[in-house]
Amino acid sequence: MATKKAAKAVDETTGYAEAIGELESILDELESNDVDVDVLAEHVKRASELIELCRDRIGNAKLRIEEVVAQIDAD
Amino acid sequence: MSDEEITLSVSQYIDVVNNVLKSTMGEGVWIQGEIEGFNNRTKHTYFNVVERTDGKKASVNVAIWEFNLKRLKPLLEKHRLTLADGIKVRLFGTGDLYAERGSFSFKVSNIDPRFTLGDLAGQRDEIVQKLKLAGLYEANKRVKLPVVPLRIALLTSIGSAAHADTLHELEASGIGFEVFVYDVRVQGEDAAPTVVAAMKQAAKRDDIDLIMLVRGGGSKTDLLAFDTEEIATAIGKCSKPVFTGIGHEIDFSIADEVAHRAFKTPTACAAGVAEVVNAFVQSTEEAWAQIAATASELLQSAEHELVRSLDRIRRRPMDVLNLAAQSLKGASDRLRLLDPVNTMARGWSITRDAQGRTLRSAVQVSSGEQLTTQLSDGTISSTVNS
Repeated sequence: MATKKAAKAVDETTGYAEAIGELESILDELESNDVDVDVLAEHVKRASELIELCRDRIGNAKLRIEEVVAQIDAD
Repeated sequence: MSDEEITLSVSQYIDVVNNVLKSTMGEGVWIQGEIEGFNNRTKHTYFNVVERTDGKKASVNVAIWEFNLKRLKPLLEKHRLTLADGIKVRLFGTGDLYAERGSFSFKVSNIDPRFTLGDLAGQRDEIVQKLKLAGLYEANKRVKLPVVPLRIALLTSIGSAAHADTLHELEASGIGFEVFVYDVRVQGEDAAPTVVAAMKQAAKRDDIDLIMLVRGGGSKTDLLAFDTEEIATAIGKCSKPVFTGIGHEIDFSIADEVAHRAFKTPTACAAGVAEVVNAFVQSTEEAWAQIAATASELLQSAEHELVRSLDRIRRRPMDVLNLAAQSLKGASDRLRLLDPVNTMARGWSITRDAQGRTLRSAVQVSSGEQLTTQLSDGTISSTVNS
């Protein structure tokens, strides 16, 4: 089960693809009918962290790309 | 001695002989032979016509008086012939003894130019055949022409118009030719040996790229040296390409035929050499232009490629990030719907037993059991009645 992976802490070493993959499987699990209410809050918390991480990644990437493109145009 | 025997004075004898000659041969006869000992230093022309058969020689003194010479001149010029040693001729005239010296001579009143021309053509064919058999006819044409022939051996008569014309044309080309002039005779019996010797000498040198053999125009018989087997053979055997510029436009000698290239005049010959060099210069310039054009094309296409890449770099990552952000937003929306906090806000609650186990069925509890119910803003405790 993908939920087992949730044990791993979310930090800067977590890859975007890895985070998205885990997020998708959490969402799939939450959307299934036999979701365990006990783990629900944990899952949601984990998913929120993953979403936050992905947002940061996207934001950072945008910033870096804008910087590089500006540099190319300046040259 | 008998008194009846007639004794003639010398002049009487000469008269008798001359009368006999005249009565037997009338207005004259045609004789044919080869000219030898040609002499036109006076206003009259003298030579011998000789015949050689089986090692025996027969010879007749010939004289062409000035007035006959003048009369025959247009005929000779028309056929571009001049009389000289070695030329075969057919002559019409009368023979007589010259009283003062008792010498016999044949006075020419007409010449058959076709005979001489036919003989020359026959000789020429014979030589061409010989050269072909010896593999020399095409040999010089097969000699590789240097790509840039700049060092030229010029075989000509120093001081002649041909010499001057050739040098002038080479200089006018503006190309830095190095010209080594070999003085040769271009007419008469010394022509063949001097040309052959000079050609052999020039061919031996490492610092010569090409040999030019030039001579100005002249009569057909003036140019006979260039129809000789000796010169043609020397060209055929020559290890360097030989360019010829001999005579008038209508002349084409055997030397011309066997040469690497033949031109109609010395000037044309020099222009031909310059043309070889110019062709090389042009080909290098074209190659260089081609290289420059190709390089520029490559650069241009690389630049276009780069511009295209830059455009993609500007657009694509943002597209990817926007897509990612969009799908992340979808995930986050899905998550919000699933968050129990939101569900509880709508009035749903979770009820747990005293052990903290979530109640999923009424049969899980019994009367008097203590329960805790979680609502969106807190918990309440209750006791089961039934």
